[in-house]
Amino acid sequence: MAVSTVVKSTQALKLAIGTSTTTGGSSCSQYYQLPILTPPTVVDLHVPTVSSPPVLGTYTESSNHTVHDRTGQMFEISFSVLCNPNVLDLLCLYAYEDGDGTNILVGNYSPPNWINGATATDTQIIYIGGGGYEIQSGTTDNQDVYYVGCVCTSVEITHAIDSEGGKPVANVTFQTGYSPAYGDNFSDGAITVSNLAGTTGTDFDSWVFGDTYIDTDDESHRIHPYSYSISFARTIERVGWVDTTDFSPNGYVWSSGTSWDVSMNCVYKRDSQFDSIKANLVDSGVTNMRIGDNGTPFRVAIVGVVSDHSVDTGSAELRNSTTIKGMNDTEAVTGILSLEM
Amino acid sequence: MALATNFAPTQNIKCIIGTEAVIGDGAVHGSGAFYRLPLLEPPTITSNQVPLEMGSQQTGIFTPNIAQMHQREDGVLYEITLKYLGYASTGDGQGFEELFNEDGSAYELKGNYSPPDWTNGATNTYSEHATSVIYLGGTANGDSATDHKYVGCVCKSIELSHSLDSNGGFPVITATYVTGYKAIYSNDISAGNGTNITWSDILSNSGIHWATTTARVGDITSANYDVRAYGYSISISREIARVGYINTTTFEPYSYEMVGAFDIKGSITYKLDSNHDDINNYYRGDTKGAFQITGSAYLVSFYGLVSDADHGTGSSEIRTTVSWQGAEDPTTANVILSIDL
Repeated sequence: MAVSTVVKSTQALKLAIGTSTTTGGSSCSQYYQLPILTPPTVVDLHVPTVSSPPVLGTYTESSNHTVHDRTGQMFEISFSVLCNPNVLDLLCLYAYEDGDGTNILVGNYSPPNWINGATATDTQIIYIGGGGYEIQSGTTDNQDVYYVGCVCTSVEITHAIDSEGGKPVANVTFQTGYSPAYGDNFSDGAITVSNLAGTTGTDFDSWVFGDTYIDTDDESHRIHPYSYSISFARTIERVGWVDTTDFSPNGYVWSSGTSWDVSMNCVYKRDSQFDSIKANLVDSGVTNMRIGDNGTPFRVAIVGVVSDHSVDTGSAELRNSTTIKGMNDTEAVTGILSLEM
Repeated sequence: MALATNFAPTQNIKCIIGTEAVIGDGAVHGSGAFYRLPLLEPPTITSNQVPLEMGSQQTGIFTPNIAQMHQREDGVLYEITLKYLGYASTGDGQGFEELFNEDGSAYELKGNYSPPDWTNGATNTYSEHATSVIYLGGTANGDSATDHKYVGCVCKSIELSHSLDSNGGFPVITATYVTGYKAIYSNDISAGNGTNITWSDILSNSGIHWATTTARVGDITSANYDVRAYGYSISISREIARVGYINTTTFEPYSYEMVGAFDIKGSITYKLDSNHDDINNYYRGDTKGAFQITGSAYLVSFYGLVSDADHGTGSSEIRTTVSWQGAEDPTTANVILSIDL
C-alpha cells in the first residue's frame, strides 16, 4: 500500500466520557462530550522494556534478554476542560463519587472496590474522537481511540478574574490499566452523547464580598479574592493481570500509605483583614476558606490547615497567597472540599 | 621483571562448563559438550590457596611460631559460585543434571536419589553427570595462561529465582561447585572457540515469568488452587566432603562423599484471594502438597509440606508467600522437584 493520504487534525479532536456499567467494561449508556480546551493526550498501546543484567563477556545489549513488561501497564489520559457546572459535577462524580451539585468530598471517604468485570459504576470510558488512525478499508475505520477502565486520579481547577475570561478551567488526569482500543462509534454517532461543549462556564466577575472569607464567616475575616486554584489527587495501582493476551488488570487498589491530596490556594488583597487571619497561619487549627456563596454565582470551600503562605508583590498592590491543605475528621461525614457552581 | 602492564577486565570473564569424561581428568565427556553460560556476575575465582593451620601456642614465647604452622593441601575443597540466566534446557551445564545426578529434561530430583561414584579416575557415567569441568576465561591473566580450569567439580547447591520484578522477569540460577583438585592455568578459552576446545554459546532463554499460563498452590491438579503468582524461588543444597589424597604432590582426592541429605526449600508469592480458602488447608495435617508454575516455555513443580506462610503487606495489595520443605517417600521414585526451563 502506498503512503496513506489520511491527515488527522488536532483541532478536530473531541472527547467524550461516560461511566461504564461494569468495571473495565466497554458498555456505557450515556456519554458526555466535554468542552476541552487543548488536545488531550492520545496514548497508544506501549509498555516499557525490562532486561536482565548484561551477560559477562558481552558489550552490547541482547535482544534475547529484553522483553516488554505488560503486567504493570498503566496509561494516562489528561486533558484541559472548561469547567462549567455540568463538567464540574461530572469530574467530582468520577473522582469522589459525589456529583449532585454540591459535590462534597467527606472526611470518611473510602474508595470503591475496583474489581475487573464487576457490576459497578466506578470506572469511565474515554473516547477521543479523531484520535485514531483511520484505516481506509473495512466497515470500522478506527477514527477514534478509546480507553476503558479509566479512574480519575487528579483534578486541578483554576479560576481567576483576569484569565480565561473569568471562566474556570480544569486540568484532569485519568489512568487505566486496560489496553487502548480503536473504533469509530464516536465519530459515526453510534454512541449516545450529550454535548456539553456549548454550556456556559461560571464567571468570576461578581464575587460576593460578604461570603468570601478565611477561617470565619464574619466581617473581620472577609477577603477580596483575585483568583483561586483547587487540586485533589490520589494514586492508584493496578493488581495482577487477567490473562496474557490483553493483560487487563484484576482490579485497582488505592496506593498503600497514601490519602487524598487536597489543597486550595487563594490570592487576595492584602489589607487590614489580615490582622484577623494571620493567626491561622501557625495555630495548627482547622481553617475554613470559602469563595462565593451558593448560586451567586458559585461557592467553593475547603476545610483544613494552612500549609503555605506568601505575600505577592507582582502586582501594583500587595496580595496575599494562602494555601490550605484539605483535611478534617477522618471518621466524620463532614466535608473537606465543597465545589458548587 | 618490571611492573606488569596488563590487567583483567571483569566484564570480559567467560565461563565454559561441560560434563567430565573421567573424574579429575579435565576432558569433556564423549557424549557431552562444552557450553558457555550466560554469566550475570563475576564468579568466585580460587587459585589454589589452602588453609593455614596453627598448632597450640607454647608457653614462654610471645610471638607466633612459624615452626608450628602448616599450609594444608590434603583437605581443601575449592568452591566456585556461578550466577547466570536460566536458559532453555538444551544441553548440559545448567547445574540441575549435575546436582540431581541424572540426565535429561525435565530435571528431576526423586525420593530414592542416591549419589554417583565420585572415585578419582573413575569413568563418568554420562547419565549421572557426576563431575564437571569448569573454565573461567580471562581470570588468570598470566603471561602464557589467561584462564582458570577447574576439574573434578561437583555441584553442591543451586538457587533458582524467577519473579516479575527482578532481572527482567527471567529466571536466575546461582550454582555452587566444589572441587578437591587444584586449578590449572590454561589458554583454552583465550585461544578462541574451536582452537583447543569447542563450546556452544547459550542464548536461548527460558520463559519470562509473566508468560505463566497456570500457577497452582496446594493441589496442582485442581483449578480451585489457581493463583496469580508474582514469583517463586527454589534452593537445593547438600554437603560434599572430599576423602583423602592420592599423593603428596598433587593432593588430588581419592573421592567425594555426600554428607547427610539434600536440603530442599521452595517458596511462591501470589495475590491473596478467595482461593486461599483451599490453599491454607495445606498449612497443617501433614498433607503432601505442591506448587507448580506452568509457563508458555517452562514448567516447574515442587512437592512437599508447607513450612511457613506470610501475608506480605509491602505492596498495595496483600501478597501471600507460602514456603515449602521439599520431601517425598525415600523408597519411591516420586518426584520432589521437576524443573524444565
